[in-house]
Amino acid sequence: MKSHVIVRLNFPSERHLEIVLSALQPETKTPPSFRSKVKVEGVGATLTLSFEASDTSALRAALNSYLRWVNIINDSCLVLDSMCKEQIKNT
Amino acid sequence: MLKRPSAASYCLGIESTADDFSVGIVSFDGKILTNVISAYVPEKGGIHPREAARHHAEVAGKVLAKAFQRAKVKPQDIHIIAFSQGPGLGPCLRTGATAARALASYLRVPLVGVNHCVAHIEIGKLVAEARDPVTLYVSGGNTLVSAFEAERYRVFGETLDIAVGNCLDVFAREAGLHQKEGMPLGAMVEELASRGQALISLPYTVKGMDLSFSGLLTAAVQLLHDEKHSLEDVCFSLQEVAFSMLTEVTERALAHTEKPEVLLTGGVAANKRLQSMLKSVAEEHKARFCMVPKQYALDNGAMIAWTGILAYQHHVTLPIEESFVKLKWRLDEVPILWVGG
Repeated sequence: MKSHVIVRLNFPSERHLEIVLSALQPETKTPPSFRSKVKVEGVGATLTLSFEASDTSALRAALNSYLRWVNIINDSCLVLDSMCKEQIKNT
Repeated sequence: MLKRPSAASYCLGIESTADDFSVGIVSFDGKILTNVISAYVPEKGGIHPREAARHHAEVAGKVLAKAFQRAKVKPQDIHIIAFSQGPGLGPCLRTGATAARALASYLRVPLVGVNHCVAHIEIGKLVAEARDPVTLYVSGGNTLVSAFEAERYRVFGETLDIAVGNCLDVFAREAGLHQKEGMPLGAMVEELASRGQALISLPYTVKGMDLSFSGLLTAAVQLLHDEKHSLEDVCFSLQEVAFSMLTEVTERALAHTEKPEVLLTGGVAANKRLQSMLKSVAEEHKARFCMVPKQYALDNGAMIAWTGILAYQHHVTLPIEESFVKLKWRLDEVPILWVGG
């Protein structure tokens, strides 16, 4: 059963979205499975992930992977954000 | 946006090929400032790639924060980001690669993709002060004997099926042993083997310069099920046969290349019996035996950071948009521009 899902995520800034896009885009070019295809696009500070899969299991796997990657990008940015704020405070 | 680089330059390396997620920060002159490792320990069975990747995603932020805290460096002191590009488990590699791309993009610094096997050799050379060794790299995912020749680390011998660490781990699980954090299965087998006395005959498979461990594993598991021998004796025999095979191939590579050093690295390098066998072979060939300390013999971020620095100093960088992971990236496919020039 062919499945499609579109996920839209809003980020705090366009710069944040730019980081997310650059980190995700290589994964769309070399997908781990031929059963799913993902397109990533950004407008303003909104990320659009368009998933297309040959079955619901493949759809869920792709969704989980991309959401996990978005989380890891956010966590990495948060660490750097907090360190930069600390530096500003200390100077 | 942050200014970069400052006077002191550092590389932040991310390792995520298998069960460990690690961040290391190393200075351009080879000082390891931090090497934080978080290991995924499965409740039962071996590594499930998706579960390991989930672990990596969960701990990445904490490991990164701890690495910065311990290294006492500022983000703007990071000059490059390096990551393990392969070989390894797809979901784990992709998770680490995504984090590395995000950091490189945030800090606007170059990204360097590092071969995991090259990194094991390079960190070994750095910390054990080896110059031009024959390397025996033994872990749960890799078993290979290598030495530098004509711009590459050439593979002189390797496993034809499973890695020696995998052989020991699967055997241990068949014997009912359970992995705990800080106590890998291999260490449990080693402890039991130290109390074994009888050497039981097991398949010894060296084909040319290559090795095979799957038949040995099957035979050792069969011995367990036969219940004619103590677990200690089976562990002892398994270790003796597996390590003799590794030592034979390493010795032949050493005799052929006449290298001045033997470097032992990878997770299985912590095994005292293997160390003593390799040491005696090295001494016979008047080569120095170099052992990599455990924290740098296991998968770690510092080795990725250091190898990233070596590559970067020879103008090797990777555009973010082309930073695809390479699941089956062989050691001998990587040009080693920083050695022998």
